[in-house]
Amino acid sequence: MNKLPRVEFSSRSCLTYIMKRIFFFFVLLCLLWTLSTVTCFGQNRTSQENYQKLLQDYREYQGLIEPFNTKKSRHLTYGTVETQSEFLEESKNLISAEIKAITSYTAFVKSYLAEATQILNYRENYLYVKLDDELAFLETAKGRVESLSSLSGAGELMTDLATHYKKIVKIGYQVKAMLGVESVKKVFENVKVDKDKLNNFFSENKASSNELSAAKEKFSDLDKEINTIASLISQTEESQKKFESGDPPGLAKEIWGVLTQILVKINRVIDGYKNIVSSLK
Amino acid sequence: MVPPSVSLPLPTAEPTMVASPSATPMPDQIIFEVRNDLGMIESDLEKIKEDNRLNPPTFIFDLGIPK
Repeated sequence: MNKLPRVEFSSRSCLTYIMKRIFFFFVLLCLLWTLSTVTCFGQNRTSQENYQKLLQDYREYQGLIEPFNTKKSRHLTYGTVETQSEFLEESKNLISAEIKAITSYTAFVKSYLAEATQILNYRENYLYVKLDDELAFLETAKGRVESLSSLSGAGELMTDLATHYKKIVKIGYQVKAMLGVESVKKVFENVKVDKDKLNNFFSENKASSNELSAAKEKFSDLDKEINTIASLISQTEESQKKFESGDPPGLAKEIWGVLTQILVKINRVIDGYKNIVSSLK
Repeated sequence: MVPPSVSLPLPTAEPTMVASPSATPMPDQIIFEVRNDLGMIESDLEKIKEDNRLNPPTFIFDLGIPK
């Protein structure tokens, strides 16, 4: 009778087996942690999904303002231990909802930036870094709400939140202005390519006709518009540099005002070029 | 010593007329290209709009009680 091969379990192979198990468990933990972080910060959602979440969370937050004000009035009127405790509890609810909505807004801005920069080939990453810092702060702030035990503590947390929200707001307006400027610049570059093509066409075409002369004149007039557009774009770029020290909503409004003028002018140039092209058929 | 054989010249084909590529596109082609480009630029322009969804919502950052 053939003997079956003997399987030996040495202490060394047993140790390797355990080590492999521990390693596998560790990898699994890392994976779960990464997944939870990604889901938590909303990085796997589209900007539209994040916007819907923001609307939902903001609605939830707004729904808590009235109960908060009621408890505050009661506390200011009676000033008892009971009313203070109730007001603290309501404040905690409000702050929690506030953090949740601010997190959604930050995640929305981040996903919006990510989607737009894919199209615009925007390579700067400092805004992402800043947004990640703010998301990390908000995550910590969530934990602070749970351990709040006094109204003064709640007030301090709100002050901290205000400081960080100011930074987030600045980034939001910065993204709004920057993406507008970059989109317009990209379109303008394409307009300039066509301008060069038409310029080549005119320099190569030596024939003379009334249509051709009129087309050349129109082309030359539109060049002035092109120069104005270039100067307006430089103006928006200069305004963007003021975000660090200026008033973000005011700057974004100012930049979008100029961008609107640029868009009108680009449309005028395109209409002019279309007119030239159709006259040269 | 064998002298190297001298091959008869091979019959050569008549050169075919192949238009050499032009360094610059033909004017008609430029006009065609510009017309197409302008259409695409117009469609890109329509997509550029101020997105007010990026305007941040407002929040309360004060408990509203005397400190």
